[in-house]
Amino acid sequence: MIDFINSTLRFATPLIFASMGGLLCERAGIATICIEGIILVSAFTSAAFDYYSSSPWLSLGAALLVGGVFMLLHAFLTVRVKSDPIISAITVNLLASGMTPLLMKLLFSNSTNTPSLPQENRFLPVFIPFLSSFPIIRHFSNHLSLVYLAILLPFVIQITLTNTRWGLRLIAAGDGPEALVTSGVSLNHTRFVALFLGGCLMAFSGSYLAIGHSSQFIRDMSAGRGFIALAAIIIGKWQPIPTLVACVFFGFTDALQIELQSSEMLNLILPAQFIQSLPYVISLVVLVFAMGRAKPPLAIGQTSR
Amino acid sequence: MTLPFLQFDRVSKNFNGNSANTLVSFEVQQGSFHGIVGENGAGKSTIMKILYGVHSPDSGTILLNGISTQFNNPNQAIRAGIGMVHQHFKLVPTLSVWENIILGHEPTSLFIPKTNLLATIQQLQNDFGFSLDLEEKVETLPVGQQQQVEILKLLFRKARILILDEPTAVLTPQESEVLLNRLLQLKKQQKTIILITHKLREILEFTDTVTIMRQGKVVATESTASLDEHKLATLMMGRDRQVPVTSQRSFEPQTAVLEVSSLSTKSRKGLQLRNLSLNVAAGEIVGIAGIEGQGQEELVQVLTQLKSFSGHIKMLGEDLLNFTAYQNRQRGFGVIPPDRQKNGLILPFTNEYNLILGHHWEKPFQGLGCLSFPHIRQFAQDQLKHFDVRPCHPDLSTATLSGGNQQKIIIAREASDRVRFLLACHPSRGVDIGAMEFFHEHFRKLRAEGAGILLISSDLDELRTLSDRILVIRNGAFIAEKAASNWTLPDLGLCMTGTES
Repeated sequence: MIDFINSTLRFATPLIFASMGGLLCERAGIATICIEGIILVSAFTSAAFDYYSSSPWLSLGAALLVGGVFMLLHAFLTVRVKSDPIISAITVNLLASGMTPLLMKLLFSNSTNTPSLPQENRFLPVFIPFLSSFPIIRHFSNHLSLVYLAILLPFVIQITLTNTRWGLRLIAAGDGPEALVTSGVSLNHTRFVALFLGGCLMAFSGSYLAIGHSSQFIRDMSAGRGFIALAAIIIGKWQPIPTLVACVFFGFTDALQIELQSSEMLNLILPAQFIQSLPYVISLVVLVFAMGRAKPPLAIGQTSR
Repeated sequence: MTLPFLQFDRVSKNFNGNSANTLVSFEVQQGSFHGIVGENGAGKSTIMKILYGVHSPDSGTILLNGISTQFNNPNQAIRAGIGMVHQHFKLVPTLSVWENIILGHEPTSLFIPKTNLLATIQQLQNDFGFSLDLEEKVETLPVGQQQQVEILKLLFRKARILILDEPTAVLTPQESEVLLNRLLQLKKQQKTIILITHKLREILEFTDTVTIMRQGKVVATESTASLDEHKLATLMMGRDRQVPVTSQRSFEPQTAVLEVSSLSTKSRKGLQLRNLSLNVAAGEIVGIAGIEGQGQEELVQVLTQLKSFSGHIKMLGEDLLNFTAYQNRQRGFGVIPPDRQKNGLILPFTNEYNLILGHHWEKPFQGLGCLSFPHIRQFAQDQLKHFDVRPCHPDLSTATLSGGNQQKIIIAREASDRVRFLLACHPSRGVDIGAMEFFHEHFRKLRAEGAGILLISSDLDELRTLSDRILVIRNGAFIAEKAASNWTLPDLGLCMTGTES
């Protein structure tokens, strides 16, 4: 049971980072379906950078920068050139999935994965003595530092949105861009900053996947997590805490899937592919039922003027 | 003589060769309530937008306290103490009242000091006699209160000059009264108010001085005390305005075009229609009066088949539900929707397409399944000329027209000669007197030709001028009905607000 909860947290972590990044962008009024692409480029950056630098933290920094810069591309296309955000995001996604194998081929002469990293160059579990003194919680006190960060992040974002002037302006950019402009705030500036920071948060997710959860970058390793994160945002109605809950739920289905795969009984009855598809099927079903009442930021879907 | 507070000196502005303002000169005194009046397209909004830094003038200067001033954007104007309430509010619906007020003007601390700000804004409310719930979300507020948020927002920014662009166009008569009295309060506290409007009554009752504009030029700037309605209208229109006449039916109403009996709607939330019965005969105009949101919208939705109902409705002699909405339109049902931009037009479309919308599948607009452009063009040109739409270009996007001209396009389409039952909702909301009279004349002509009209309006003068009978709707039910000539204005007002039934 404890293992199962820990496994759920591990699977939820990349989703939380990705969805929090996406949430910032969407709340600023820009539809952002390119979370997937950002996870890919940042995961690749982490793995490649770690290979040369042997430092996971430096690699994380590099990934954040690359993730942010890629989102600036999305920002430039949507905010500055005012192109359609869906088209722009598809561009980013395609660019990411095409560019990473090419760079791998150039750097490592292998277009499917980067070289495996030694254990000491990856993120290692951080044992938190403070937590271990509590009776039940101590079983959950041996995670990567990124996992703790992920669980804290939605609360930080919630506070930022509701209690800082930056958050106020961000919400205004999404729900009433004209009001923001007439109040004398630069809409473009607000959205550029939001998208850059959103990209950085998504990059945490990529870094976690490549050098925390596993030890290399594998082609298309994001495996739809960017879209699951998007689903979590929608189910969470663009609110940080409910989105966190949705992410944990998806993490749970992932953990369940692994659990079921290891059960030999079930494997005889059901093909493995069926079990592997479970998280995606569940997200589809949940989305269908949650979708009717979801209320996106008002500026989403309108072409920016 | 004191120096004028705000002075416009020979300001001109052209848009693509069309002059919007020509040599506009007038003065506004500090602490006065100044009206700017004129028909749609007279250049009232343009001159204020030049002051506010939205547009820059081609020539001429604006003097503030005797100093030549030109703002490049609204921020500079706000910093100089000028604030504008736009006709369409610029608020963030999902944020609360206080958040909207401070937006763009927040303290620079890490966290927003909410308690301090609430106290500051509350003080502001007390000073100027507002009483809004600051924690309420703006989207849940009625329009009148949203407007108050806009005004508070300007006061929070310490605006000395408040410009209001057609503020009462979206308000009920009661809300308008509240707003205008509040503006008088602000004037007493040394604020300068500039009110753009085309409602003569507001000018005469509330302003100190008034600038009358016509076709981009200032006709006169006068002290209001020296004017009466007739004189003001003459200056504004450049011709004698007809005094509204109580309508006279040319012949007795005949067959019913609309028969509604025991109509009710069910809805989980919002308003229900309760047991409505109503007849509209051919050759009759029936008015429905009521405060906004008493079931008028639901009634329109039922008649246009957007909402299910129980009860019986016969339109043009047949059960409403025997036909689709499209078929009913072809049988002679016309609708002037309450929100023309949302439901009446496809704004980016050209005028000619908007003129045939919903009839585009009929001959001669189509042949062999394709649109027949020469016929459409010919038809559009005739209609634009007949309804005096300006500018008269069939291939101009409708979005570029002024509100009044957009409404003319809808009326040209929906209230054509072949219409037999017309549902007209707020037909002259936000249009100038010239267009309003034109519409009224057109409706009378339709009636004389035997069409039945159901008129829903919040303009009581319009209802009394046009209608044969007026029903009052309140809380989803008709509570009174009289011949139009038997209603007095106070009666109607009392009945609508529910102080008497």
